[in-house]
Amino acid sequence: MRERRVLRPRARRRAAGPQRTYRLASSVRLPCALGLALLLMLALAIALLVGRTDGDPLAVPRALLDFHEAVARDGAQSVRRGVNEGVDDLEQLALVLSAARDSPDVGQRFAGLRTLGGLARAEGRSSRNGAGLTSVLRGVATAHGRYQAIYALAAERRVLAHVGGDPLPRALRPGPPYKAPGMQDAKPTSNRGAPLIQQYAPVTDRGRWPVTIVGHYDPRFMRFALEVAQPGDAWVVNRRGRVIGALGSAPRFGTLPREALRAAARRATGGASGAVVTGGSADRQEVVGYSPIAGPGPAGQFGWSVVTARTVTSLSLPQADARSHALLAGFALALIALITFGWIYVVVLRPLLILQGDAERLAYGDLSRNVQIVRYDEIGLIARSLERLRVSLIRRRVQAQSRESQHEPDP
Amino acid sequence: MSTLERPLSVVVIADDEPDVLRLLLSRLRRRGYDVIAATDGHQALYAVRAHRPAAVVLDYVMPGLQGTKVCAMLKADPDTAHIPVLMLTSRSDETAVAAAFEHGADEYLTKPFDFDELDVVLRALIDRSC
Repeated sequence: MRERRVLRPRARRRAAGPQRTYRLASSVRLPCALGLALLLMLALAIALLVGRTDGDPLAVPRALLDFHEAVARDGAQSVRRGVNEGVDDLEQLALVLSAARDSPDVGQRFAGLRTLGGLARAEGRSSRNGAGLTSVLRGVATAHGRYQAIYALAAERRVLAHVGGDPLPRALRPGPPYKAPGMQDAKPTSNRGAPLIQQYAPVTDRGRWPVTIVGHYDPRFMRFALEVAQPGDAWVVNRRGRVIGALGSAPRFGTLPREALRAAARRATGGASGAVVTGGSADRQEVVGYSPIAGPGPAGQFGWSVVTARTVTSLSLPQADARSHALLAGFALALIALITFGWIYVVVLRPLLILQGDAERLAYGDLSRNVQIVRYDEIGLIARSLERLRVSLIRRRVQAQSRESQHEPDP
Repeated sequence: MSTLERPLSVVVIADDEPDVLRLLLSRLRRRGYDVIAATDGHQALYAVRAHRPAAVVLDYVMPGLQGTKVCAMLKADPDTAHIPVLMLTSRSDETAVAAAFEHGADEYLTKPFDFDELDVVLRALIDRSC
């Protein structure tokens, strides 16, 4: 039996062909890149040009202005009622404490507050009456949540009990007694510049006012009254145009952010309410509503105002809707273009380029590496065919070498 | 010719991986082949000599006798030399392919493979040997 001669494959050869630069861009890549660029430009054009207003302001119907005026008025009344309720709560507490003098039942309920005299003589929290009063104040603060601090002041402005933040120094300065429930205008706190509203209600005792319940109304509580202006913005400003309440972030005792808003606040301070469209181009246009906070109760006496603002593009106007739809269409088209061409590149173009490299390698006689077959689609079939070609080439070479070795004369 | 109309071809398949062997058995039987399984080279040799199949499918690396060795022994035996041998393996480097052909293999398929392709290659081998 003739021994089979095992032939070694030829040494691996590098591709012997010239290093050519293929102009694939002209047939495959270029159309893809151009198509993607064109679609992206089309998406951009749709987003920018369709629904475009050429910078002209959008026409806002009178009915929408009336609606925003009503929003500002509702906000103003809600703020007024809310702040007045703060004074009312303190007044009710003061009335209950007054009643505690004459009714043992009421006194029992408030943890040993027997008489107003005892209350006035209380020496801070260590005394029975002082501790009881603190408990009462804490109950009020917890129940309503609109106070940053509540405290009881004796006639000589000595703090009998307090919960929450510290009393303001200016509240402790000697002065005439508080004879009726009320409040002071909003003022900035000394340290942080945040607005603070001081409300009070005296406890009466036979024509005297030995104790006053003082509360610091939390301006952040105004946001609940201003929620009527959503999804726009809203501010409460004092007579001087300083912000004392705002929708959203905690207010600082500063001015309104834009001149148009400040002008609206000035008109409201003058007693007018209304709504105007401000800003030049459609992108900057706002509907600004304003209304004074006026009416019964202490909150209506300080010349405060409510200013609301909402961008015109957020309103349901035909032009604004067209613009929004155009932006959406442009974005969708850009997304579809990117996904489509990305898919074409990943699924078709890149595998084709890899196969092209494999085919060229085989063409120059480099059979060392197999053609990777990772898919079962048309591209995968091409890869399989190339791999079959590689195996066939190896077989032919082996057969040729075998024939050559059989014809060589034995030495 | 449909699968059912084709004449039954006896094929010996040798692979040491049970999962691959099970898959090959079920798929090729579904396509009309009468498949005899072997898990190593010695079993494959015995099966071929006992059944004289129409074709042999060999894995490259197997316990006992390697696929190429089995192939060389079959081709060296005048009784089995005419039986076509298909190497079905995950080795795809040039050395392995060349060695398989040098040992007398008639065809070479690399894993992962497509059963349609395997069927086509096997059918071509069987038709060629008839």
